[in-house]
Amino acid sequence: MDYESRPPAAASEFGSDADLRQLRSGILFLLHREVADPALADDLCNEAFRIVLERLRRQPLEEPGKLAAYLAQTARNLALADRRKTARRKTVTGEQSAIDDFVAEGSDPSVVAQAQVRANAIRKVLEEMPNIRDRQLLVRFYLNDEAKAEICHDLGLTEEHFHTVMFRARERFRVLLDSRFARQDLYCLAIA
Amino acid sequence: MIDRYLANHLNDTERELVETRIVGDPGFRHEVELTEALRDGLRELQRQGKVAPLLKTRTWMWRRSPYAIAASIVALALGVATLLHYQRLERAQDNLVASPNELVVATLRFEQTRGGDDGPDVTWQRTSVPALLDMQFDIGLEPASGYGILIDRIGAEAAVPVLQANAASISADGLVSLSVNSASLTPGDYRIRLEPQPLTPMQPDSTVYTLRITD
Repeated sequence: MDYESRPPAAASEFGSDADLRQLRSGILFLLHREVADPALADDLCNEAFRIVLERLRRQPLEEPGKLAAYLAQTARNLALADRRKTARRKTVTGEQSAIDDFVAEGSDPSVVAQAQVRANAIRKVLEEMPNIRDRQLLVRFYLNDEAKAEICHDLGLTEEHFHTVMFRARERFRVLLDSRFARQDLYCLAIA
Repeated sequence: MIDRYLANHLNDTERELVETRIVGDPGFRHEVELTEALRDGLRELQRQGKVAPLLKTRTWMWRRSPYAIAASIVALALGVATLLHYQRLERAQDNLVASPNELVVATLRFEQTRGGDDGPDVTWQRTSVPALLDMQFDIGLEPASGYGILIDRIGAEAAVPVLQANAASISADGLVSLSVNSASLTPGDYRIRLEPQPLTPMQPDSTVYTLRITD
């Protein structure tokens, strides 16, 4: 999409170029959760912005503050339409299960590589965290989805202090992660 | 909310609210990205069998170079010496300065409001001398970037505004802090409202706490 050639009406709705980039990153994040193919997500993102820009040219939003919601809904609709289209085009043969078996999960090398990079980064940062309780908290809460009461009981915490302790652990994790790795290496799908 | 979103446990309305905030609020999106990276990374590590070693007590100290260990010991010794030195200085200073009007600081910790008829979140009994009330508010794991604080006196009549503070920030502990001289709060019930800032449609709703001050 050519941001330079956007019409004045749309420009006033989108704000600065920085605002536009932020909106685009947000829409890409949503679409990457909706569709597995990064290239398709990128296409749908561009399409969502094209649709919204055309709408803004015809008629500005009554409530400019709802632009993010309007963009998000447009992106969701496009992803849904794409899923329906894919389902319609699916070739049905008597050997469907055999055909499905040929598609290995995680067969996209770039996605596999990214997952590996991300996992290594998380492991290195967790290894660097000096407080073992921080690591236990993050693993039990974010990986095992254990109940707060259970974690508090095992780690000798009161439920009142759980948020504080978890917030600190998460902040220490974030600081280490940001100091060791570039954001685009970890969140490249969303920032693409 | 972020965890439930990433686990696909939100209903359609909640999901739309979260996704609107992801698109319109970069700070919130970074929180979601961090959580997703952490969750996905941990899952991948578990698949590779690399989570369990992370939860064991570390023995890395003994694999460090002798120079690093020696430097650590020297630093520790210097720290202890400095601490002892300052303790001696403080004792000497205490002997010289003995103020009868010491400042009383009371820390009031507010958890997420319980609502209903459970009574006030915090009750504080006034001291004989004015105290500095160090109010700390736990606003959960997904705080906004800042908060405005409004304190109203409540009772049988209409609420009366007592204090307004703008742009209270989040401490390193994830708490919103506000210091108030107790002289400005007479005995009674108070409603304390924390408004997320900047105020946008994407921000979560305000949070309300209650305080009772008794004689």
